Amino acid sequence: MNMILFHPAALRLLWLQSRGRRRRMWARFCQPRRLILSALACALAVIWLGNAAMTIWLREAASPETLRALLSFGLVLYALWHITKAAFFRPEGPFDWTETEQELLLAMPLAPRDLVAYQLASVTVTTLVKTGLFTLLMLPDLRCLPLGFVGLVLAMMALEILRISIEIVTWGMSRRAFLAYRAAVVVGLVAAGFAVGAVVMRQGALGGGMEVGDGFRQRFLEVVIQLNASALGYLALPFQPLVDLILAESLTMSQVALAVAAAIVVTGLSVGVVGLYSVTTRRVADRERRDYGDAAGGAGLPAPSSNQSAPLKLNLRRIPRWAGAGVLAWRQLLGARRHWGSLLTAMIAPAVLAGAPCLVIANPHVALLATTATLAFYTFLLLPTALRFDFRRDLDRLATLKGLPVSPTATVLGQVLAPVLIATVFQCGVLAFAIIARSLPPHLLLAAMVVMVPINVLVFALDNLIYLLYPYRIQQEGLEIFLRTMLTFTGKGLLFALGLAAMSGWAFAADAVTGAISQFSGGSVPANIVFASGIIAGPTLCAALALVCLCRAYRRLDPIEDVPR
Amino acid sequence: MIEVHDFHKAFAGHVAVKGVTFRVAPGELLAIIGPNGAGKTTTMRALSGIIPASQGRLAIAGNDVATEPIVAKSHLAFVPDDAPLFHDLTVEEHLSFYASVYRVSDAAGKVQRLLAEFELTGKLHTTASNLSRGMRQKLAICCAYLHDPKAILFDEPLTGLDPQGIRVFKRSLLERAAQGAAVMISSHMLAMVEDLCTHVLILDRGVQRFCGPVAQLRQAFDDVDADASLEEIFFAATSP
Repeated sequence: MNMILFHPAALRLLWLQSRGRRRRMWARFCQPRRLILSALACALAVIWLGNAAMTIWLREAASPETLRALLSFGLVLYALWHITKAAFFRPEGPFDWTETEQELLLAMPLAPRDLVAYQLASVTVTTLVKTGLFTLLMLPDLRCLPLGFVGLVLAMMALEILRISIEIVTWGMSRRAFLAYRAAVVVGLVAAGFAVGAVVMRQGALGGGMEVGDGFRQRFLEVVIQLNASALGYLALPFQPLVDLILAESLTMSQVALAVAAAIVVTGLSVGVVGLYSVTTRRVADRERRDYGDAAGGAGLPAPSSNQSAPLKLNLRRIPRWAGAGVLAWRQLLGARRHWGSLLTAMIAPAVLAGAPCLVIANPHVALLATTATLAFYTFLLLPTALRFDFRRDLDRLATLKGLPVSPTATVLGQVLAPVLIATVFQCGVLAFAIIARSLPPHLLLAAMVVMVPINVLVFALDNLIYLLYPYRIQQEGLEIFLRTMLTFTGKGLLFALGLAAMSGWAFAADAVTGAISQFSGGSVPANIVFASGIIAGPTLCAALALVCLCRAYRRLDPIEDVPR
Repeated sequence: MIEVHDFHKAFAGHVAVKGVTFRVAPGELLAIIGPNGAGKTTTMRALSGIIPASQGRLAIAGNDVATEPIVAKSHLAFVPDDAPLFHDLTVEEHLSFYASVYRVSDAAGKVQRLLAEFELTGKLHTTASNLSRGMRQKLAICCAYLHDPKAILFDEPLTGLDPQGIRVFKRSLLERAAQGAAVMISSHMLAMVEDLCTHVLILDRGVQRFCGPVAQLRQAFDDVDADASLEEIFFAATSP
């Protein structure tokens, strides 16, 4: 990719966008109400990054065999993800541009080559940042840093080019071709699943004495190494030169030549994307002309759709109002239903992670406890990011919400209900799996959910509270979102730790309280009942308090002044 | 009935509206006009309870917006400029939502009439994100009319509407006023204002320059001719 490939206007736009982002960030950073939190976020960033750096530098390097298997596995998995994603979420356009970018760039006198170059330039910038961070993470493993970095950049770029190509191709496909592509992907995935299953089974047999309770990480690494050594390893073949570069021992002439060759190939692929885009747009236009000609020459085209023509089949739903809360929750759940695919995708990984303790911990009760704790931890830290069916997707509609004849309390309850409900159903599913897998009594599910529901309310009320106190646009990215995430994660982490400490403290205090109650009432009160009551009451009270604070924040929010443009 | 008495609104030290007082009786159509930044939208937002007033009393159908917000809002409809609809809800779902929020009885009949009137029947199952700008505006108007509000506020209502849509909108506005609704329109389309409205409120940099019936408008400004157009009066009233 040289300067000839980039149109000066595209580069200028990228530069101006980045400058605008920096300017906006600085202005918001300096707002009096955000200044203290911004400074705190910066301090935390230094502490966390320092901690991460120390952890990385002091950790033991992975063996070359493990590293090669992990890199190959990761690259293949990433490529498969792009192929699968495009089969189920067909791109609406050839590039994932914002609406403004689309309207601005497509109306400009730019050649297809310039448009692709703009996309590649924008991807290159983010890839360099991502690779820089990834290189830092891999410092102990990289024998030759310059070659390792180059190898990682080229590997990431190759993946990005693959993604862009898949998006262009799937966007340009006819409906029939796309369905065929989807079917092929499904068949491929099923076949790959069977192949992986076969390798895992064989590995299990080879592993001999592996029982429930053996290290999950160790088992996973052995499976990955086995997969890489099997016929499935051929899938990673195109990435092997890049993996060789990443794992290069030293800066030799042959390795430099390999790096140059790989760079030429990646540049060639970039140029190929330009050609692919030109051909695809031409084919899409040709197909449209052909379809229009066929329709006009045959039975004739229907008249442009008249708004009156369709017979009216009105199906107004009877939505439970519940003082307005029910209607708002219904609307959020409807939104969630429309995004069920991405929602399901976001839930798969945490479900697997939360269910993992069930497969590796020998004692079934401890395994269930670990699964519940993992779920609670995940709910506290990550679930709110995946489930944004509350105030956080309504930044531009806060004025509309305020204009409705619904009290602030009902609005808050209605807005928070949908994510709480989805989170509860998700947790129920995972816990039910754990209980069935480990043959535990079903009432344990109820017991776990009695604690989880108030935790869900607390978590989503807190996230919404922070959002209404310091509103921001979800699409924001870069340093600003990094600092914000740092701050909220630290805050939530501290709260979680505080909750655990309170729970441990209550475990000791419950005994004394039981004694006092028994003495006062003259009868015997079971200690576990007192302990359980406290465990349920604590999160419930906290959740109620968080909801009250959220109501106050919503009441005080000025949707004109407080909402960022 | 819409009542505003000594309304002030300040944003971060900047006074957007200063001492505005007016009243829109049932059946009246008040046009609120003024240059950009005059405080028109701010007044409407305060009336609809979206932002609180810094000072003054605002009431809808006799209900104070500050002390009885729910009752006041249930008698009101506000259609802002580029109405922020719920992107993933269809036309039908929007109407279901508003029918439920405003407790509309005989929603099905009203919805059918409104959809036919604003030519949205064929778009029943289209999501708001897939509607054109004009269609979105029509949907917002349908949602506003659904609960037969006693007070209706429109901020630049003609944006995006096609000629047919404009004609239907104007007719519907006159019908609503004839049925006893108090209507307020903020617009820069002075010809439309002159054509439709019974009363005019002129704001300039947050200050009220005139409020009264259209017939008295020309007498209020000495430096305009007796047959001056609303545009000429507007410039006379708002020139620095």
